Amino acid sequence: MASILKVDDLRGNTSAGDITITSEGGAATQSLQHGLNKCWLNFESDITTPAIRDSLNVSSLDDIGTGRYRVNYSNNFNAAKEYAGGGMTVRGGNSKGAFVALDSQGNINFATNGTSISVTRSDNTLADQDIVSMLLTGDLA
Amino acid sequence: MTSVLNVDSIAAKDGTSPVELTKQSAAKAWINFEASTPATRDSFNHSAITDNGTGNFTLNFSSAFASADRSSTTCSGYRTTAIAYEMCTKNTPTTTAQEVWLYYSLNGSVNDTPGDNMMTSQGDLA
Repeated sequence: MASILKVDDLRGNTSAGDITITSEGGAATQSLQHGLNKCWLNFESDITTPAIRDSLNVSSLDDIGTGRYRVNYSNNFNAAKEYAGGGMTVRGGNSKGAFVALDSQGNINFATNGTSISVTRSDNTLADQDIVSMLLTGDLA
Repeated sequence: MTSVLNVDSIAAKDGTSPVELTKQSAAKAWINFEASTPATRDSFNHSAITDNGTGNFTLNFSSAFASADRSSTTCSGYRTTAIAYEMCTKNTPTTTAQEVWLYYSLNGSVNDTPGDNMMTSQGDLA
């Protein structure tokens, strides 16, 4: 019979932020906390004011300009530039395909409390898109 | 009342098998690196980067994946006033490494310019 442990809060005993889990194949052990996604975001930007559809660890989204946004985190990362991200977009009705990249022209670039991102179309122009998504992994403060 | 469980390691009830995270999944590797050296800023389950040439790197894993059919998402470089850079995965993943290319998005030329390059990988480990 499967055993199920029901608990609201799980913490490391030796260190509150470090719990070890075994890999699926049993060949390795890893830190659970290091691997958890720490921030994700799905928003629509091809409207007057960009609107967050759903998110994790995002407090707000600022519209910096066409195809440029600042994502503000609810809980800070532990160090600037020392976390990883990935992004994608789905093209809007009149748009070409596009991708998400960091934005050096924004007011912050992978800071602990947020980051500026840009959406660039395949013709190298900035664009607002119907669906923009972003995923961040790394260590929180 | 909130229940708190303090524990150092979690395993299935047989003591060795992996525990199931109900309706959740954790990333198994991530890396943030700058391309010109190249140098890793921070990472999880990644070992040293292999520099294959301009704009071409092999990102090696410390613990191998069970299959090469994992999901790896990338985000690269930055958008300056005029141009943007992308990083894409090469279609030859192995269980122990992922080769990537950095290129200028407008004409596809490879380069080592982007200072911020990231990849996150999801799937089962060996």
